[in-house]
Amino acid sequence: MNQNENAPTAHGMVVRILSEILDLGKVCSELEQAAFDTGLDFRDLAQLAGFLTQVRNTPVRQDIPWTFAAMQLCGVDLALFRDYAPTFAAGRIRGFDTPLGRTTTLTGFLLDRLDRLVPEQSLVHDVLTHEMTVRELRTIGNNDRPFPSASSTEGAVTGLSVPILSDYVRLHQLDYDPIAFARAYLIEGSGMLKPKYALDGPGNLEHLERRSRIFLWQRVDAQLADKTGQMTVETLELDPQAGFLLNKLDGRRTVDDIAADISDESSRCDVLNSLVEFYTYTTSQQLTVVYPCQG
Amino acid sequence: MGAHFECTDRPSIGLAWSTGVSPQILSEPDLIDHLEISFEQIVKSPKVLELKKTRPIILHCASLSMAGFIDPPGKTIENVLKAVADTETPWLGEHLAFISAAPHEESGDPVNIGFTMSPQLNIQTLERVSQNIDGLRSKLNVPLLLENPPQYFSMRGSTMNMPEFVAEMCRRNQVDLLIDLTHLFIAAKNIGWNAFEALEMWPLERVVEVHISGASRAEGKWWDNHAAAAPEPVFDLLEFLLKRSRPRAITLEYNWAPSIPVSFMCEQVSRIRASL
Repeated sequence: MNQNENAPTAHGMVVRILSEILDLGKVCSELEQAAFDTGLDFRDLAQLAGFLTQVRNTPVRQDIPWTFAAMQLCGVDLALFRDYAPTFAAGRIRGFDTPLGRTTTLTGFLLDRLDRLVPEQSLVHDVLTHEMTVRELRTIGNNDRPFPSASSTEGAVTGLSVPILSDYVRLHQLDYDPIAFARAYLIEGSGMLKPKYALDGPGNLEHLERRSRIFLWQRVDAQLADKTGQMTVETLELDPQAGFLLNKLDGRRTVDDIAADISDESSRCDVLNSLVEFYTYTTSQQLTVVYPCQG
Repeated sequence: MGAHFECTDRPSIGLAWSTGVSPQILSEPDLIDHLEISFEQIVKSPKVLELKKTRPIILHCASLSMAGFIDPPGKTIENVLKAVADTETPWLGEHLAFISAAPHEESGDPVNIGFTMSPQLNIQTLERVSQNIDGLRSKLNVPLLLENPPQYFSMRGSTMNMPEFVAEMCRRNQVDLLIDLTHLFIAAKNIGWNAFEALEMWPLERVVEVHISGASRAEGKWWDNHAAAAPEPVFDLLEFLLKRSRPRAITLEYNWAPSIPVSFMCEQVSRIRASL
């Protein structure tokens, strides 16, 4: 046997360091020194800890499959999960309340950590935003309507009327198109990367860029729930002006208030175009806006 | 009673079980011959044994630390033997890796990281592997297959590379092989040797099962990824292997994927059949 062979010691140190990072959330210079003393490179073990943290979060893939694929495509998964290891370890020690607790802990970490000025991280951020929004809209209860129902809308519309959205909608401004990402890189939208990209990585992401575009997520009627029983969520791409208008529909602003806001914004946005786009959405049943009379 | 593994001229093609395997995949005629179930899945949810009604089961294991210096708990071995009997598996596949080690402090229990890791590659480890094989085989009533692990870095104290380590392990022990072609691809890329040459160094007549799964690249290394489609070079390795060997089973491992499209499975299975 070669005198450098110290397998029991080396294995013990690998297990000890990984266990301290993964189970106790420790990352400290003491571990680095211990690795060095055993002839191990701490950077290798820290990478491995990131990988194992990702593997331990496999159940979360069910909730945000596209986000996992986007992280992998962009080659940022290892670094993100390495940084997430202490947070995840703390969550395990505390005991995640529910399986969903794992997902919300991870998504909270990612939203805080992702740098939207870095293109790859911005793509992951936008895909995550999309998946979280779809999930939220699918799980909103039918009794959780944020505004009055359309039945209370009879009467003439006046400047004091408060226009509201009768549907469940969310608006986000994204740099990248999550739907285009799925079409381009995933096998039938499953969360599995196409073989080419598992091997090659993303290359240029410009074809997915949607700078200054706003996305709207709308939950469709319960009767249209898909065959799995889940609510269907549709996604529309809006121009900034239409997004601006829709953002004003907060259940408090009156028609007069909104008109005044538009007037204030007129130097910065194409009001006519906005109104046309707004009218298109509200009349094509893609989005219903009702105007309850204020008496 | 359940489905039984049959010996035929053609390798059985199977899929690692996970919640991503839809009923549509299972109901597709002539697609999946067998299912791989892990011992750890059975421990977590014994109901998975009901899958035996649909397909023959091949039992896989990651708990026996065959390249480790700490014996697995007696209860673990007892439960593995029970799983072998319950599944009626034709063999038991386990990793040539370690998952646990001695406690840091003398009074503590052994620490189990719950994930198989590539060992220090040297004579000291090989001697221990031989002891572990002998110890397990005396209790096991089905053949034991050892699987090559993925390698992400070379551990100082290693005196040989993975191809040499596996070749020497085979020379010292009459043990059969489970070759994970994705692990082979990953290790070759990360450490810098030729995967085809590695296959030529190994006794391929002893290859009983083959695994195929995905891989992805991050921070300059290749990583095991059971949620990604197998990359093209893995299928090149499969063709190379099948010209020299006739394994009894080929198992696709996509068990981290939240869902596996039926069309994707059809494409993967067709691809394998075309290589036979």
